[in-house]
Order: sequence, then C-alpha cells, then structure tokens
Amino acid sequence: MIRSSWLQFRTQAAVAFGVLAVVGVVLAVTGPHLVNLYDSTVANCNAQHDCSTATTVFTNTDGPLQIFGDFLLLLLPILVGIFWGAPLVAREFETGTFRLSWTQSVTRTRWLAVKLGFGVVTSMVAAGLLSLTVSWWSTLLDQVRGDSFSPLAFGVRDIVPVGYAAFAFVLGVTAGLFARRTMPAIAKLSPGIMKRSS
Amino acid sequence: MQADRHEYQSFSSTNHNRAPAPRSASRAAAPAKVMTAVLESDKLGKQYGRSWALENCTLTIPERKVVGLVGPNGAGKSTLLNLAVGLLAPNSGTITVLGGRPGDAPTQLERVGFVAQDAPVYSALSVAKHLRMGNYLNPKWDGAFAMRRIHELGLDPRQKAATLSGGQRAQLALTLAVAKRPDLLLLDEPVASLDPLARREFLQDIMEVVSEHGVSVVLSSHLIGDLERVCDYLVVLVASHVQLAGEVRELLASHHFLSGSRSDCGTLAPNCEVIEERHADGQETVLVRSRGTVPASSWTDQPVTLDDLVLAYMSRGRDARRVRRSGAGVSR
Repeated sequence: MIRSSWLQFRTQAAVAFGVLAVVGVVLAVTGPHLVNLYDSTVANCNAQHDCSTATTVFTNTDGPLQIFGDFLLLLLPILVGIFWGAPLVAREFETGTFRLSWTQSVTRTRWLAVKLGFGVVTSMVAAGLLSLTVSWWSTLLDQVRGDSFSPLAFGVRDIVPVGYAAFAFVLGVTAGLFARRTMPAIAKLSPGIMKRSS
Repeated sequence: MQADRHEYQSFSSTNHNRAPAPRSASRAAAPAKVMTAVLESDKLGKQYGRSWALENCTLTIPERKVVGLVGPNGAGKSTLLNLAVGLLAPNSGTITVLGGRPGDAPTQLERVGFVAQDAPVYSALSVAKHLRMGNYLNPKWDGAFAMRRIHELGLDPRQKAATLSGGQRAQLALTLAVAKRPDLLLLDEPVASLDPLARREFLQDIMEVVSEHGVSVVLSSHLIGDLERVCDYLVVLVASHVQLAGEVRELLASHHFLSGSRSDCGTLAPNCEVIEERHADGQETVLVRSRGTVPASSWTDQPVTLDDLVLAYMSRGRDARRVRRSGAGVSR
C-alpha cells in the first residue's frame, strides 16, 4: 500500500521538492552575504554610537527575498491543502476510481490510513525543510528585529509552518471527503486556511 | 465447451415475487451448502433517499457459473454488484459472498475481482504502473499473466491510461481484476462501451479465464444478447426486484410458448404459470412456466429463446412496478 501510494504521489512530490531545492539554493547563496553585512553594520554599531541606522540598513537588506521567503511559508500550507489534501479522496469519487482502489486486497480503512499518513508526513517534511531554510537565512534578521511573537513572524518560523501544513492537508482531505469533488472542496477549504493565516 | 458447463450443475434455486424460497432456513440447516454458493442474499435492500434501488432481493448463485445479470437501466444491477463487493452497505437484509461479508477483510477482498461500470482507471498512470499497483495491492497477483495479456491485447505498457480507448480501458480493468486471481469475478456492464467486435473478443477472453482458472463470474448488462453466448445462469432484475433466477438450461426447458385459439384458454394445466399473454386475431399465445410436464392438449408448443424469456419477465416486472406505484399513490 505504501509503495502504491508512492507510485501515485511521486511526480507531485518530485515537483514540490524540486521547487524547495531551488529556494534552498537561492537562500544558501544569499545567506552568507547577510552574515557579512551583519558583521559590518549591527555587530559594531555600539562602537559607532548609531545603532538605529545600522539596524535599519541591515533589516532592509534583501527586502524582496525576505518577503518571498515568508510568503512561501504562508503559501505552502495552502498549496498542500489544495493540491495534495483536497484531491486525495475527492478525485477518487470524481473519476470513479474509488471503485478500483477500494476493491483491491486492501481495506478502505488501511487505504485511508496509509494515504493520510503518507500525505501528512510529506507535507510536514516539505514545510519543515522550507521553514528550516528560511529560519536559518533569517536568523540574524529576526534577532535584530526581536519580534518573533508578532502574528506574521510567529507563523513563518521554526516548527509552526510544519503544524500548519499538517493541518491544511487534513483539512483539504476532509473538505474533499464531504464535497466529493475537487474544485468545490478547494472553494470550501480556502476560507479555512485564510482564516488561520490572518 | 458451453454444453459441458451445462452438464454438472443441478437447478439450484429460483426466486421471484410470487414464490419466495425459504432461504434462510435452509442455510441454517445445511452449513455445507454455503460453500457452494458464491453469492447469497436474503431480503437484501438498498435505499437511496426514499427510493429503493434494490428491494427484498433473495438470491443464491451457485459457484462455477457464468451468471448473466440482466435488467433495464436503473433496475438495480450496479447496486447489487456494489453491495456484493462491499462498496455499498445494505439498508436491509444480508448478503454473503464466498461465505464472508463483502469488503470486510483483506482476505475477503482478495477473493473478489471487480470491474466497475465504465471501467475506471487512473488516467495519470501508465498501463505498466497500473500493473505495478496491482502487484503492490494484491498478495496473489499474477504478474506474468498480466504482462502476457497486455502484450496480447497490443497495449503499450508506457501508454497513459487517459489515452486508452473505451475498449482498451475495459480490457486493462479486466486484466487487473483477473490477475488478482479471484475466486469470483464481478463485472458491471463490461461490454457497454465496446463495439461488436471488441465485445465478442472481450467475452471470449472471459470464457478463457473461466475455463483456465475456474472462477465464477457475474456480469451485468441491459442486453441479454450481449451475454447469451457466455452465461449459463440467468438473473433478471427489474425495478429493484429479482424477477427470475436460474440455470439457463433449466429455464429454457421449463418455459414454453403455447399458441392456440382463445377458446382453449381453460385447458391450461394448473401447474403452468402464465408469464405473458398475447392476443391476435382470436389466436392466443402465452408464455408459460411449467412446474412439471406441459400437458398434451390442443395448444401448439414452441421452444422459447433466452431473449423471449428475458423480455417477458422484464415486461412483467415493469407491470408489477406500475401496480406497486399506483398502490403507493393511493395509500398516500
């Protein structure tokens, strides 16, 4: 059952982790630059008696990239819910393939358990990797800003996105289960995720 | 081969509205009998909203048969098959398939092969991936058979299922169901999407599978003509009710077309049940089911075809539904 799930899921997973790898490379390349900048500005600002200017200069560096990283972390659970969660059961109903998959030698309970487990774990790994990369990249920025409990920052650092991804996946599956069709499920799902993001 | 298949089974059970057989009693008394029935249902019913898709269905299908499940569209054929494979749960009554409850356990699931209506397959997966999935999900999977069959059908293993024709899809779905090595194969309208040639080849394939592996098969269609050449057991389902069930050979032997002048009407033997009557120019033609021998009388006895039989029971079932509906209307 696990091998079968992987067979159906691997293309999507490859796309997702491919995108994550690209993001990782971009952040890995630009990360050291931030560290150098920190050393030359904020680290010795006390000596120059002008920490506010130094801080402003530092925190405004790579603005688009900062926004991009946080935006990706907000977007990831939504995408997980829409593309992995919602179709999981809904697509089976929509195309009638539940009559194929639920009449193999695997009970429906086991089918759902493995599919859910597989999806939740993959979603969490994807969110975890992205969060890890972005959190690492932003370490010094976050340290200088010191606002890790502001609503936006809290949701896009460390393990919080992992929880959101797991939640969004299961929410997507549930919506798909009740709507029985993929697109209506996505429509029902969106307010739920938006609410959690805001 | 057809003739051989007819030889060794006795007339097991028939059932229609007028004569409900005391199934449950006989099952309790002789548990060994359960083993010879691939499908046994007792007052089985399935309801969608307020309408019954299948009602009071008591049926025993003996093993090693090719069963034709025939009825007009919406008669409950798919419902019965989906109940038998465990995709639906009954609202009333019981159904036992191969001695177990449908869809209950992996061991039950692996013994029943199912091809659903329109032969659903995963459009994003290739033919080869479907076979791999079958391998992963079924412990008794016969990979050699599946590959051989795909090659014989001329299917490209790398081809995506989305690009298969209706007939090819049906063949792929049948391959998946057979390679699972089930004891019972349930096929829901398997030939509906096939052209006449593909239809004949598909049915030949099924007969090959039956003779090679000794599986029991239930296949549904709204046309008896599709199934006539392959089935040796017939179930006629009309308007949610089983109208007729029995061995084809027995059914053909026990039904007669009698024709004579109207004045002979009274001379019909009491052991003849009239299924259908037609009048034309003072001439009476009746289709009767005899419980014994048809008496020699002034009636001319003509053999019936399976087609005649199914049509007669279908129209009788339709009339019965009209009566039920008007009855229900009055009670409201």
